[in-house]
Amino acid sequence: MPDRLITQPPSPRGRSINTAIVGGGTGCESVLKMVKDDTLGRFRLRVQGVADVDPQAPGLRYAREIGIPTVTTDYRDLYEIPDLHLIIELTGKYEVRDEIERTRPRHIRLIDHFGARLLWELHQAEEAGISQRTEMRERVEAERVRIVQIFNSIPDEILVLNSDMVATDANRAFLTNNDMIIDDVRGRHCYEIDQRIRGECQVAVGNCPFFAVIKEGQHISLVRKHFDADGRALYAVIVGAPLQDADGNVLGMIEMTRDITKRILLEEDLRVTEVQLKQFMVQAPLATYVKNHAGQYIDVNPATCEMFQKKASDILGKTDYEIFDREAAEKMRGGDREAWQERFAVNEDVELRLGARRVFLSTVKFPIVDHDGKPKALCGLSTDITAQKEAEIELNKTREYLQKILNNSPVIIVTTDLEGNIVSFNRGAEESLGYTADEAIGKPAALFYRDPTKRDEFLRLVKSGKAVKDYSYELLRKDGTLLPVSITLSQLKDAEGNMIGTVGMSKDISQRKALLGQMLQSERMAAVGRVASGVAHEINNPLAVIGEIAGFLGSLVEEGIGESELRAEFSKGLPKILNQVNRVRDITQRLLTFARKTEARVDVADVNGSLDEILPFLQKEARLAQATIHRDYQEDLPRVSVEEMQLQEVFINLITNALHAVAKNNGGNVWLITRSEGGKVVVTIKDDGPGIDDAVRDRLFEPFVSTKAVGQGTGLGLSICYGIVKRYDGEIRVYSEPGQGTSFKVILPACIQPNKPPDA
Amino acid sequence: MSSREIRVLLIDDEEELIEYLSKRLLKEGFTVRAVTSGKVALEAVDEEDFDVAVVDLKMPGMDGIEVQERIKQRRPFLQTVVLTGHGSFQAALDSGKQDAFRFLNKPVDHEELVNTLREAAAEKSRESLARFREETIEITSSGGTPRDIVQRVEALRKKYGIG
Repeated sequence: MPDRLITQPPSPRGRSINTAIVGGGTGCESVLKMVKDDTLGRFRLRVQGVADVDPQAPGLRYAREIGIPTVTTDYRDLYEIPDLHLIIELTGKYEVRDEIERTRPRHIRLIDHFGARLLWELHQAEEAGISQRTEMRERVEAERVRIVQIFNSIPDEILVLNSDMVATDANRAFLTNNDMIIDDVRGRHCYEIDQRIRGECQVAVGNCPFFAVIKEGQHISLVRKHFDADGRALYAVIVGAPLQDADGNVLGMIEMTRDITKRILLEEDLRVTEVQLKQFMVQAPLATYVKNHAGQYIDVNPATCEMFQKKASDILGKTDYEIFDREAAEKMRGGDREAWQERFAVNEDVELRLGARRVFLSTVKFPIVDHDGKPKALCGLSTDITAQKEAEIELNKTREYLQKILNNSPVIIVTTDLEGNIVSFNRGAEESLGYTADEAIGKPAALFYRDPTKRDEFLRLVKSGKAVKDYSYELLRKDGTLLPVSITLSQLKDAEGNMIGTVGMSKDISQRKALLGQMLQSERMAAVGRVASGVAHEINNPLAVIGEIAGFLGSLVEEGIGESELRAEFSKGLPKILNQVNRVRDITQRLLTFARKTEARVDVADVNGSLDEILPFLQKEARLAQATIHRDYQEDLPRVSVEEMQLQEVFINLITNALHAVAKNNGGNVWLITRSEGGKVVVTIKDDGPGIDDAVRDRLFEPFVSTKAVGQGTGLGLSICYGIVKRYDGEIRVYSEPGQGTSFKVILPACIQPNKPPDA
Repeated sequence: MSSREIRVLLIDDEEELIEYLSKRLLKEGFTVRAVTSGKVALEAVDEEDFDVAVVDLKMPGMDGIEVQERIKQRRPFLQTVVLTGHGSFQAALDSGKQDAFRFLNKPVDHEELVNTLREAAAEKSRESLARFREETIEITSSGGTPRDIVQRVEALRKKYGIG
């Protein structure tokens, strides 16, 4: 018999039940395991034997392992076990059960597999109940520990009182802060504890506000001021809350105390700061205001009202959009947003309209942050910088204007320092001298002088306070050629009036010189022409007489009149006289031709340029005719091999004619159109005048044809134009209908061999 | 038309010139009358029928341009040839305005002058014949009696010097 069974202590309601099991299946095995592990609870089974016909049945095998006797032959052998109380039939076979029922001795009870099953289920249920209770107990314990932890971790002092205002508990903060142990608290009245902490309780027992907590279950909180040992004021918030049971009956009170001395002091500080700030705002000459997140003004000072020209009540609560024009408001909102985001001061310049005035505001904006460093409002300080800004704009305008003049001027404008080194070099200088500004700046200005010592002489003059004015001189271009200029040089002064260098302006007078030359030439020619013309006339008349007499005498000789000797002499002499007359006549004719025109010369003319050069001379005529001259030039027009002055003579004639035609209509338009067409240059001069009728048009280029009233002609007819154009292998055509205007086309060969003379 | 039938009026204040010019033209067979002022020239034009007038531009008193103008008023078909020592273009232009037949420079090549005079005379008869025909058509279509028409055409013949 195993020891274990013997050592089982006898239990009251029983002793252990000596049991044998018939049927060694898995059910048997489970029962044996429970018995062995003592998990049967109140059941006290002593299994004393197991029977099964199958020696390998799992229950049987397990029984053998744990030392329980087994029977494999006849289960009735089990009846022999002494003091056996019970047989449990687990075979699940009715015939086995019935047989046991029949064969068992009367003192051995039987639980068949049904009964066993029922017991098994009951046992399982009990098992579950036990584990649930254990779990609950553990949880309650954990909860209790947690609550105590929380209670002790709360930094505020907590005192728990019962309904008699006797303390039952206090948390760690209470004990630590008041230098007490739990026994100093427990079982004492609140006023006793209070007295120990804060001195005499100031409140009569009946008036204690905390009675309301106990009596009526109210929550109460109050601030209490008291003084510490050093006489410093201390502040505490005391909150009283009722301690209630599940049914709402008040069992006592929880008193929670929090020291707020620091906060109170801070608030006082803040109040002082706020007052100071308010004073600052009111008195500040700067427009100072505060805005909230929505961009609404929440505080403005009088300077702000003055600047915005509005009452405070018209500003407060409004956003910039409601106060200013949209554009300004957008910009201000942008500044706000930046200040909010950046969290430090941002500067903003805004131009806005206040009434009829344009105002420039310079504003510093910065966020006001709370103790956590979070921005909670935006402060702005604005100054009116209109005057400053306007001056700046004006200055910029002037500067730009001057810069433009400098840059666009065809005049050479060069400034130098006191040593004569170039400081600035404008576009006119670049174009005229061939150097770029980069090349020129820093170099001595004398570089451009034909004689560099001249520049030193000029500099001495200017330094002594004299100016060099319109001095005709020649500058050296980069390519080594000379540029005739008129130089004006003066001091360059700083704001204080001290000389800091020189400013020189040189006008390119090469054109002027050339023009002057041309004018001199043509005037000289005209003078010579007039003399020649007079001389020719004076000579031609007597010459004509001589010629006629000689001719007459010659004819007489031919007819055989006169002595034979004389005749021979006459026949010899008279033709000689006639020859000499013809010779002189040729000379005078040439003189006359010369008088009419300067010597024919070929150069290469730029048609567009030629037209533009003569336009100024025609302005007066155009004004009188109330005509508008339109130019429609082709760029990059090829040049033509025509003497420019003759070309211009043609154009002057045609444009003058067009203007006269337009004048007949009391105003209109004249178009100058240049085109390149198949190796020719076509110049069209078109008007919207009355046009020319057919009869006149067909004879237009014949000499002596005019549509003008006597005395209105320029003295230079279309025949001259025709002659000139023909001489240069060109063509001149006219298109006109009465009422449709007139257009003349001058068609000239484009220049291919620039030096080819015309049909000379 | 032969030279003999061409009646030329020479107008120039240079007496020696017109003296010899006349002599030469006469020898060529022209009928020539020479005068030394515009005034006399107009009288001559009133008295006689000329084919061509050779006019000097620069003359004291009435100048060549005015002479031309007045001649044309009297005798629309009479052709004028300008002969001048002054090669001024303006003068040529002004003469042109008076419908000058040609502009010649002094001293003139004699052959050129003779040819010009012939061409001018031919122009005159062409113009007058054209005009004569126009007017003849007018007369014949005006619906007068045959005798009336014959008389009027005869008068016209005389007026335009058509034989």
